[in-house]
Formats: sequence, structure tokens, C-alpha cells
Amino acid sequence: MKGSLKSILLLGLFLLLSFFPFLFPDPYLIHLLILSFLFSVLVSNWNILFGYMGIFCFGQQAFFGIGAYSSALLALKLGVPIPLSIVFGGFVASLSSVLIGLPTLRLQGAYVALVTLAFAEVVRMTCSNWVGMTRGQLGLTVPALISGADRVGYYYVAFLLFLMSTMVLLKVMRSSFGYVTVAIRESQEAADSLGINVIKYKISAFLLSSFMSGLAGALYAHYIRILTPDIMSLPLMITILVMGMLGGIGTLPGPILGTFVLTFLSEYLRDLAQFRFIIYGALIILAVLFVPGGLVSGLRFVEKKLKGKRFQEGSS
Amino acid sequence: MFAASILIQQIVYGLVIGSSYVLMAAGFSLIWGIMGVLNLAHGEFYMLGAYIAYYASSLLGFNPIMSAIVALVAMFFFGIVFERALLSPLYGRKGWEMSTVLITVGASILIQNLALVIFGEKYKGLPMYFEGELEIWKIVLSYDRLVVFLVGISLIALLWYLLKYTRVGMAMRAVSQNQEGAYLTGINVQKIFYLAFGLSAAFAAAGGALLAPIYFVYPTVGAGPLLMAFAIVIFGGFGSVKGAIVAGFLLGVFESLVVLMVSSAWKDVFVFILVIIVLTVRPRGLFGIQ
Repeated sequence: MKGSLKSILLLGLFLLLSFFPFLFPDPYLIHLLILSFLFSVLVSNWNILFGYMGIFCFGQQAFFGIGAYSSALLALKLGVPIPLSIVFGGFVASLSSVLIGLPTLRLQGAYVALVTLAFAEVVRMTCSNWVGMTRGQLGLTVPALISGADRVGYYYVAFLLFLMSTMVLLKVMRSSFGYVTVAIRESQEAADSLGINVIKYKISAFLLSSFMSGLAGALYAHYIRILTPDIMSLPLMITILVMGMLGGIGTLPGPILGTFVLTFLSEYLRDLAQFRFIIYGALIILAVLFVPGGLVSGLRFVEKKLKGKRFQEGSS
Repeated sequence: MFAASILIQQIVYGLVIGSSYVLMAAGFSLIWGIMGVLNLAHGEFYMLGAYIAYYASSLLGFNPIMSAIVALVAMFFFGIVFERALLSPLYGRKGWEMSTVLITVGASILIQNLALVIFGEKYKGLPMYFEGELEIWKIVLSYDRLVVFLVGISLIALLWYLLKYTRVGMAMRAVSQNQEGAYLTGINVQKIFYLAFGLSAAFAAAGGALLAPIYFVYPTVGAGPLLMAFAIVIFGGFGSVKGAIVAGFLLGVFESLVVLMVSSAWKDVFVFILVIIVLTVRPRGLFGIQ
């Protein structure tokens, strides 16, 4: 009973999202959903490193930015067709993750946090200082993926990317790969001693996570169409962190839930824009202190309660 | 290429900045060594210290030395409250390391943006307090910078003395070596934790307060020094205050030389690349043993 209810809910949600632009042709809502899709991809893939493998990655914003800049520059300077340049953006981000993944392999917790953060800052400052290539803080005007003012096209591309990323993560995390990553998080030594090639798994996680993040970044750039180095500044990483924690780190639905809730919440709290990051900060603190599992753990709690009730009713 | 005097001048500047970095990094390293906490809100202690010094000096007319002392004392108590309120509830929890990282990130965002609302985003600068400059062998050093350097060095010496020769300092070192063992000899570990945290906040604030008259003060001013403290601690080895002192001065000079030879826009890029390279070759830092 329980399982089927869940799948009916999911199917309904899927159908709703599939036809959303026709059911509710509100450009603003569509815009928010596009952002939610793209950030879900980013946060979910960061979660692979942070939540599943326990790699303290504080540089995910760099993969997003590298994807965005590579795709924009390829399209602008070399005239690469945009769909192709977006895919290249993902590959370049993936390549860069090897660069940063390798030094972190032998490092532990705190060191990893610094190296990834430093890496992201190096990339950001390079983009900001290399004015000849990137126009620095002036920013690039990025060609559109889909011409015209209509957002529906973007909606479906973003939706597709979101589905693809979610499917891949679902598939990967339910395979032996997923179990191995959790084993590595719980104890690297134990995993090592069981003959698991920890380095191979870590690098694979980096490759996958950065590729998807790069794709999301590239698509974001061609959608928003203005690109400055601020795209990979620390506030983006903070946002990723808050979204992940709000939903629940180390679970698959958590980051998606957190992203959607926070994207819509922060848009409707626009008047409080000034206090937005104050609220984010307070949210992180409260979440760590009182609900370390995020929204997902809350939902699971409710689910358990419901199940318990039904069981009681059945038995009486 | 450059006149020797310019080179030496820049090295001296590097040592001045280095003294403030050391104040920042020593406390950061201390907390890591004693509590195993990676305090990502450490830059905010620096920022608050700078603001306290700014207001002490602009509203109350304190001289830089007095302002730094006010910042130091105020932030000592702030540090204790911080530790009691945010970190102590987490002790002994599963996933403690990640929880402390996350909660200090949250605190950093909260404090930084509260400062933005309260103090405004405008850069605040202080006028020179001590007019004039010292000139020896063509090396020019303003009295302000000289004062910063001397106060910085004295504070570092004070910290060194505290850790090395007082009973509390010995207890701190004992806890950092072996928490359980320290507990068994009757050391109140909880008390050591919050004292160490207070000290760490106090010295970071002093670093910020000292540099306030030389650089500007603004809500995100702590981010750079935090990354620098990170870099220094990695060079010096996590948990080693001695390593932090050596590495702080070294990196201060390195940064100044990059400014001279390349440009100030690229200085952080060079420092971070250096850090990444060092960690690739030596995963425990230059002097780290563990």
C-alpha cells in the first residue's frame, strides 16, 4: 500500500512538471522552476561528494562556473554551436575536477575543505583578472541557447537535465558504487582493507559530480545570458550548503527538496532580501543543532508515524 | 631588477602583515589542536575585532594600542559565549567533525550579514594615529605600521608565554595531546575548551584591530585572513602554534613579494596555488608530523 501511494505521488508530480508550462503559463513561476531544476542538479551532485563520500568539498561553485565560462567562451570565441558547447562545458568542468581531486585524495577533512575552497577562489580570481579573455568583472554577454523571449524551451531543457541527473544518481547510488561510497565515508581505512580501490571511487565521484555541475552551470549561463566571475563566489557555495542541509545531506531526495523549497522561499521573501543571508545562517545553525537530518528526516518521521498508526488500526 | 631598498622595504611590510596573520593563525591552529574543530567563523572574529577597534578609536578617541586591547578583551568573552552556545551542544555527537564545520559556516554567514546590516557595507578607514615615519637605510616605515608590528610581536610573545609557562597553558597542551589522559589527571576539559576558544577569538580580534588603521574595515574583511590563516596552518602543520608563527611571517613576506613582482590582484592566487602544491607533495603540511 505504502509503496504504491508513494509512486502515485511521484507520478503525479512528474506529470504536473511535464505539463506545467501549459497548465500555468506564468513566466515568473516557470523561471523559478528553471532555477530550481538547475540548482537541484548542482546541489544533488555536490551531495555525492559531501554527503555520500564525506569529501568536504567547498569548491563546487567552481565546477558550475567553469562549465559556464567554458561554454560561453567556446560559443563566443570559436563559434561552437551552443548545445555542443554546453556539453563541452561539462567535460571541461570534469577535467578540472581531476586537477583538484588528485591533490585531495591523500588529504583529510579540514585540508580537503581548504584545498577545494582555495581552488574555487583561484579559478574565480583568474576569471576576474584575465580581462583579455573574460572581460573580468565587466562580464560576458552570452548568446542564448534558444532565441526569443519564451522560457518554455529552457524549461524543458532544464527539466530534461534535471531528470537525467536524478536518474543517473538514482541508478549509481543504488548500485554497488553507492554502497561503496557510503562505506568510504564511514571508514576509509575499513574500505581500504576490504580491497576497495578508494582512489578510483573518489575520482569517479569527482568526475561525475563535476560533469553534471558543469552542465548545469553552462545551461545557466546561456539562460541568464550575463556571466561575471561572481557566479562562482562564496555565496553560491553557501547557498548550495543551505539547500543541501535544509533538505537533508546524504540522501537522494534531500537536496532536491531543499533546493525547491529554498528557491521559492527566497523569491517570496524578496522584501527581506537584505536579511536573506542572515536567515540562511540562522537556518544552518538551527538545522545542525536541532534537525541534523533536514526536511527529509522530518518527512520520514511523519511517514513512520503514519505507518505505525495504520499498523495499530489493522491489528485492533 | 629592483633596487635592494625596495625589496627590503617590501619584506619589512610583509613582516608587519605577517604579525597580524600569526595572531589570526595561532588561534585557529590552537582550536584545531585542542578541540578538533575547524572554525570557519574565525574570520568573523577578526572582522568584529576590526570594527570594535574602529569604533573605539573613532567614537572614543582611543589610540590603536588601547583599541586593540579593548577588542581583545571583548572578543575573549564573545568567544566563550560562542563556544558554549554553538559548539558544546555538539560534543560526542555522531558526525561531530562535519557538524562543527557546518555550524561555524552558519555562524560565519550570520555574523557577516548581521554586520552588513548593522555597520553598512561602506569601507571604513581610520586616519593615521601616529604621524610621521621612521627611516633607516632608505627603508621607510610609518610609525603606525611600526606600532602594529611591535604590538603584534608582543601579543604573540604573550600567547607563547601563556601556552608554555602557565598552568592553564600546560593544561591546554595536555588536552591537545590526549584528551582522555588529561581528563584522568583531573583537568576540566570543558573549561579548557571554552578558555581556548576565548583566547583564539581574542587573538584573531587583536589581529583585525591592529590592521584596522592600515587597511579598511568592512563586513567581509575576515574572509581573506581566514583563508590566509588556513594556508598558514597548513604550512605550519595543524595544531602547531610554533609552526603557525614561522609560517605566518613567511607567507606575509611571500605575499608582499608577489605584490611587488606581479601585482596585488594576483597575490591570493599565488598563495593558494602554493598551498595546493605544498599539500600535494606533503599532505600533512610542511612541518606537520602527527
